[in-house]
Amino acid sequence: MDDAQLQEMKEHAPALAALYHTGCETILHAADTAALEQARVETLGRKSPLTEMLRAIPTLAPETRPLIGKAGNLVRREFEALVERREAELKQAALADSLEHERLDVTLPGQPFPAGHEHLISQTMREVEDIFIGLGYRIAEGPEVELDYYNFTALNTPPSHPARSAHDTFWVVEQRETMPEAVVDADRGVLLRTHTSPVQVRTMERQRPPVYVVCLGKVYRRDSDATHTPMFHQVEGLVVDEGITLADLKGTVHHFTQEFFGGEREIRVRPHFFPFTEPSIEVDVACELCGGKGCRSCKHSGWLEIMGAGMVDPAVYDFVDYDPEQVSGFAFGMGVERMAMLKHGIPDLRLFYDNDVRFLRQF
Amino acid sequence: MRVPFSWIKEYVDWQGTVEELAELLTMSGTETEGIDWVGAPRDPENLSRFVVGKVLTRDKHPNADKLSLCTVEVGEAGGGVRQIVCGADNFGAGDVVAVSLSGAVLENGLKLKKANLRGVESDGMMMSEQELGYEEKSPGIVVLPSDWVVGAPLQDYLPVSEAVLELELTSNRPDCFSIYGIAREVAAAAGLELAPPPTAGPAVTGGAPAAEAIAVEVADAGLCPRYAARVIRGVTVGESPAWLKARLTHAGMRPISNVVDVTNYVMLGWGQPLHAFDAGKIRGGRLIARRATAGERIVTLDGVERTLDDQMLVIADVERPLVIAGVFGSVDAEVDGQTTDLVLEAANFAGPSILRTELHTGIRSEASNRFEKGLDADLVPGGLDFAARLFEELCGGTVAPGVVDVWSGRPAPPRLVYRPAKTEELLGYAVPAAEQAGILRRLECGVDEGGGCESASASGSAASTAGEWTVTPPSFRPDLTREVDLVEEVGRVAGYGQAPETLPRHRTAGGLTGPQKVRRAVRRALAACGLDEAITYTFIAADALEPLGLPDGDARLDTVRLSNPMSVEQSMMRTTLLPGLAGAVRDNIDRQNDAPNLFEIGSLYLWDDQTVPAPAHAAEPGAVLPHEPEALGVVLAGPLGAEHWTGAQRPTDFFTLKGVVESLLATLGLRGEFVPPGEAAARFPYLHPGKAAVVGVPGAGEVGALGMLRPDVSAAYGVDDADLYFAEIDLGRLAPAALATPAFRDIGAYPPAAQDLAVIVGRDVPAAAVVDQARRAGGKLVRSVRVFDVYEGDQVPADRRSLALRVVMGSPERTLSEKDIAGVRAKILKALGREFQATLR
Repeated sequence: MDDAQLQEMKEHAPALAALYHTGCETILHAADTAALEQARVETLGRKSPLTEMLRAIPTLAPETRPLIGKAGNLVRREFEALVERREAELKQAALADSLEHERLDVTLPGQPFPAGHEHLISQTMREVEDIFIGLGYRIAEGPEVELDYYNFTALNTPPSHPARSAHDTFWVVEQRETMPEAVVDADRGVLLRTHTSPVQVRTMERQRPPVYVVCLGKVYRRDSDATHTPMFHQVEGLVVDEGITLADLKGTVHHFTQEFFGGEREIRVRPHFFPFTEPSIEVDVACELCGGKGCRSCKHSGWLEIMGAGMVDPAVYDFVDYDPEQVSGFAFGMGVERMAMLKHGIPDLRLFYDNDVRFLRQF
Repeated sequence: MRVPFSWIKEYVDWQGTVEELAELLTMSGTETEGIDWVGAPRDPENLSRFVVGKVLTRDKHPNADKLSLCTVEVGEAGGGVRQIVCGADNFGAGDVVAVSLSGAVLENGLKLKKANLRGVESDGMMMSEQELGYEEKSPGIVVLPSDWVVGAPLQDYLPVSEAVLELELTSNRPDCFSIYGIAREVAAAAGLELAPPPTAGPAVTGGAPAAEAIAVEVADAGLCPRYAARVIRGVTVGESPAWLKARLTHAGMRPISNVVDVTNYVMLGWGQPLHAFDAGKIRGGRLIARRATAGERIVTLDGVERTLDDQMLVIADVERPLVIAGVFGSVDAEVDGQTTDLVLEAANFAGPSILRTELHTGIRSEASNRFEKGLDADLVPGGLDFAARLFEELCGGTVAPGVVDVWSGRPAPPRLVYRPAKTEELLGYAVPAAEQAGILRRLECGVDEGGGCESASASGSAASTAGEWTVTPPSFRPDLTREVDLVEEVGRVAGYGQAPETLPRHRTAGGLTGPQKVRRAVRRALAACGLDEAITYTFIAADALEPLGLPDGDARLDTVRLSNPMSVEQSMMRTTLLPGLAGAVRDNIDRQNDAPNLFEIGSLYLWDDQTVPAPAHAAEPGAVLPHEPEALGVVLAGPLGAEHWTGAQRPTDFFTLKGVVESLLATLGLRGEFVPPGEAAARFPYLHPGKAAVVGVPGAGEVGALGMLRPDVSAAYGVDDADLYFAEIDLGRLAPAALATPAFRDIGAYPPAAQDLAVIVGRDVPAAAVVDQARRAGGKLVRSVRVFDVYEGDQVPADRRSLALRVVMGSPERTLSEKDIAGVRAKILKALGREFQATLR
């Protein structure tokens, strides 16, 4: 309402002007939302003076009706605008107040979502699997209770081979319809696999080259101390294809160690002996703690042994009817616990099987 | 094997350090696990304080009966003459002795100081072999040969300080189980010259020929290809000289007597195990290499009586077995203090037979450890000569002329076809042919570069044999039988460090199988529920299944048993994950950890109707492997999620467990049907019958069971104060149905409408039945029905309860009208009333 309109109203409708004046005061002085609602009812409600005045227009003299009607509506719109304005003001004030005064102790713990943990061995095996899947391998599987044939004989380790005595095998009391009479040697047919290598033979029996597989799982040896548990986990890899070389093995292993341990960890390849590979090697990675200078953790050698490997021995091909003049291949094996221990600095193998939640929840 | 550094330098002229030698051996295939420094601290200053001395005078100590007061010449550098008080009495003036001067740090770490002993100054010490670290207990000081130079550093004569290489030898290299064999490796890898074998025989012999004193009969040449003996007369059994004790002790064997020590020294140095008999105890003058008779008994040197079988070889006289051949001697022909005449055995025994005897007797000796790997029969004469000379030199014996040697002769050496190009093909990099030939020759192989041998050329034309060599390995390398064995020799000596790094040319695509994907999804889902994954031993205790109360005939009772378990606690393979998981819960509670919520994925081992027959080529007929289904176990012992200050926490109860299983199944794209166990309860007697369910999955049938463990079962597993909730699911059954590709379902353009209905039904009416009925009765407009509240109490009759259902309806074609909704509601109420006498609350 501009000044001219107000002046005109004062002249021609002084009652309305007075009403306008008090109404404005009421609305603008409302201190909170409740008072504002009260003021809205008082100024704009059905029983408000304004509404009553407008309702009374038909009773006025015809010449004054338009004037009062027009001014009354003007006042109503003015009131409505003021209520809206005051409402916004109060909201703003309330917001400012809450921002000024409401304070949480943000150092209290957050509401936790349940978050469990896959066992570190599972995580490590998955990580290894993924690296080799990336190289085009598939995951092969085989039984843990295994035939002597797959665990030893077909891996070029016939009965009476001295390498067998190093394996500390758990033998299984067999279930057969007819038990042979020579009992002493009879329960030497079924065992708990001592390594994941029998899966090599099972895989080659099932498929022709090219073979690119890794096998991960539980293995068993009759040994228990700080560095041995009677059950542990291994990863086995097998590649058989045309023209596979020891250089391919070395490159594959180095790719793996860099992916797994990160960074530029050097590797070292040493000759070794396994009945089922020829040539056979062991692979060391540079000790991370001392950077290769030598420390307690690497027995002062600067290197940590992580893997046994080699070119598949032609004698193994004989058992699965592959032709070593047509194909060649490599195999490698490593301990999952050892890989995890090296990666995470875990000092004692037995922690993996204590299942102490303080351990399980760290990874 | 322990290899003293100073010993190996007797056989090869190694100029580098011991660390460099360790590196060379490791990188050429003889892994050095460490270097053990034994003896006194090795710094030159300390070693200079150990000298050869000579006793000038020996007098009684003025104040002590058991001590003597000596003056000892220790040479110019050591300060001339020292006064030393000594407690030993096995020496006199003029004896040459080992002296440690004041300031020397001894083998045991103590520092020697001038001392006042009973009023007399003692400046230095005359040492015993004990103080040199050569034996555990010495009665007196060591008296040295009189020709040792007085004042010279003792280290020039005896290893006061020694570096011992600790080698990890592999079973394919019997030739490496001797110091001389290791020296040969060093020579080949470093291109050095190897000293001649240390096996020169005695300078003179005397007396009647050996063959007149002893006869040898080999009754089983298969187990004993070679048996030879020499005879030594007039030995005096006594102590070995200090240098010999040092060698044995540093190599890890205990000095016993000069006779026994000589046999051990030759075995360590040359690789041929020997056995010395007291000739007087051999009855009938005859040694017989024969199989034991089944049940034959022998008392071995450790005093244990052992029963033999007819697969074992013994060396017997005409009456009784004297030795378990190559493994362990008996008390019957043992050399003792009175022995004067010896029969010295050097023999070659079949490795597999020795290995079997070791396994069956549980005995493993230094000798059998060598024989089991298959020794070279050509070691025999050198071993006899070497030892005979030492018996003469150290034991005062006279060696009888001649050797009794029963041997059918050396088998023809293998002639191997070798293709240098094949080596490069397998290694993947070039090694010049001249280098290949040089390596093979340094390893004492005969190399004929002229052409292939007959067996190879038979299959090909003359042209194809170009580049084929004939290689003849030496007799001490039984591991070289094929071309590929030679490839390894060339590769390892040339060094794998030069190998480039390449990747194979891949012709396959990587990936996971369905079940492997399921396994990963299961782990992810359960970890997302807040469970921690456990891995427990798959072995369980012999009584671990007893608390379960399984019925007779249950497949889980027919366990896979170990014939050689480590303990009764780990004597059979699990047939359920429960004992392992319950044990893990108990262990955590015992350690005052939060009561854990765990899952485990792993095999069970069952002799059930799904055992796997062994293929005919792999085992004897009838051999089977157990069925190894993959199972999932879940155990809840405490609240899921850490306790929070807001008070929010999930209860540990059946419905939390069921929620875990439902969540798991949902992740796999499956919906479970949970029913009270009913008749199946007999298969799950360890579950509370009123708080358990069997879970089935459409397309897979029953996949497992879940519920609260009976409190007495929990207690039997050591958990007394917490209720345990346990689920076991057969993942093998689940996997084929899981992770199907979901097909899109229209989410609809029109808003859904929800109606809540509270119905009062009998308490024994399963909620699932009410929901199912409501869904079917409501018709095609019903999208979902679920229970959102359950009430039992004052507001409803005692035997009834109120189920509040939320029915969500919708149509793909239109917004539902009030009439539609009322119609569905009426149909549902009518059906529930009819089926379950349900009333609206």
